[in-house]
Amino acid sequence: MSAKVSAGKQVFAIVKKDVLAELRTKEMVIAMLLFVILAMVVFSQAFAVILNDLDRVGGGLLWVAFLFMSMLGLNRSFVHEKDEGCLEGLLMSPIDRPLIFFGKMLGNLLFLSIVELFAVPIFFVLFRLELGASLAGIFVATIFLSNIGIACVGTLLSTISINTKTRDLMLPILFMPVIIPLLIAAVSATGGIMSGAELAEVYRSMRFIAVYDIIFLLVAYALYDYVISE
Amino acid sequence: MEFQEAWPYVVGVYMSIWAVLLIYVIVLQNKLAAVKRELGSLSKAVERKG
Amino acid sequence: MKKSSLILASAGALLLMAGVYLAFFVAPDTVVRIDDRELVQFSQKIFYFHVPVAETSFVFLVLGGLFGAMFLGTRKRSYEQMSYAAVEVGFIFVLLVMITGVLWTRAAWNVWWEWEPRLTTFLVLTLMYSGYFVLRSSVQEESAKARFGAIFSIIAAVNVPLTFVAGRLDSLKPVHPKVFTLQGASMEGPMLAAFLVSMFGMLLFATSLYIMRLDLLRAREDIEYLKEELEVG
Repeated sequence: MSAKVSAGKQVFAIVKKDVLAELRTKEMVIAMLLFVILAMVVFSQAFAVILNDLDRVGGGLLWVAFLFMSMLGLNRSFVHEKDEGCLEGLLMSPIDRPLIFFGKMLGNLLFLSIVELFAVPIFFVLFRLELGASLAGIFVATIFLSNIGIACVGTLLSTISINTKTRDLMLPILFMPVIIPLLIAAVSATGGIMSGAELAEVYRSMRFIAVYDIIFLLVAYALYDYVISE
Repeated sequence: MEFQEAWPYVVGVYMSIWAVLLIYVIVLQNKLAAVKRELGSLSKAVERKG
Repeated sequence: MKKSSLILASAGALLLMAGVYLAFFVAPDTVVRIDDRELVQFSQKIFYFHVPVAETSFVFLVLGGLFGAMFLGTRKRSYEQMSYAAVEVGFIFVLLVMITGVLWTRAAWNVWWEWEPRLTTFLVLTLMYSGYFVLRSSVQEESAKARFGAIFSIIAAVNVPLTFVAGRLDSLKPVHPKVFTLQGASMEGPMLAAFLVSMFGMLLFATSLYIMRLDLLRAREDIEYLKEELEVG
């Protein structure tokens, strides 16, 4: 048995592995970013009527794009592990099971955040939106809070869906209904910020997102062992 | 809404609840009966084998 | 029919019939005043069955999640069967909520669908638990099917209250004028009695359905076992 390695180091090792693999191939982040921008273009053309009303619908538009982009990325993140036998390797390594979850989740969170770091400014430029500095801070905080929930639920469910016959078709079916509460709150918060609603309303939605994150982090922590062990 | 307009929906609600529940019961009972029959023939076959 | 489920089913059915009687002939009609005219709100009678159905569905979905957790904890096959049976019975009642909810929306608001928190919650529930069955059928190996089923039944049960709370959060959605409220103040004496009798009857009937479903699952398992015996024999 290897010497005791701290939990933080174990988690970091998994994140580092995913980042290194991504740096080598660069296939995920670039594809996800392209997907988001394309989705925005499709929306702007499909819903040209609402382009005058973007203060109110822009938030929803952004989240639909992010949601589909995140599913794309989540599917990829485990297809690799499964097809190349990495998951078996991870399972055989002396890493604690729940830590595997946090490692994979943080990796997904990192990729999501990087893509959005580029996608959000592009979104604001394309749709001619503006935010003051203080509001921009709240906006970014909302997106980051939501990312935690998306990465958490997504990592948990994509580990399940990768083990089914239909695989990448299965993830949206399981993921979307479970993520809907978070989507409602995220749309409400970002939409509220952009349309100049009262900040108390926005904070209420953000609090809900935080509660959602905590609940599903606990659920995932408790259940992940059962998901990956035969 | 007054009675004349509302009653079809009220009746529809009550009927649909009974209909769905009864159909579910009947399906379950049918399946149970079939399974019991199969169980009976199987256990006889096991007995014959000793 | 097994004795226990027969007794439960008939007791439930009797209570439900009593509930119908109480709802239509004993409980007072609700009256709303619109422009100085008093209108009897007949569609309110739907409440006496729709809400018990909804609450029964909640009870069984939560039970499904609890049994799922117990299966993961103990690895006893019987808990997994209990979880599956509870989720399936719960799902039947979720479908009933959808049917009756749509009819009630039409009767009360004159539209077939309204994106209102409760209806939205149940639509999401319907889709989420449909996903549960699709997931189970998409896994071949029996042990993995049981494991994933139990895990998703827990996730789904946790998500039910979250969806409901989130539905009330959205400040952007247009708020439909409430035609009537279902708050306790309006529920007294005969109304409450009619409601409780229906509620209790519905729970008993659902329990009998659950027992039947569980019997079926267990009998199937026995068959599998006997088949193996024959092959090995």
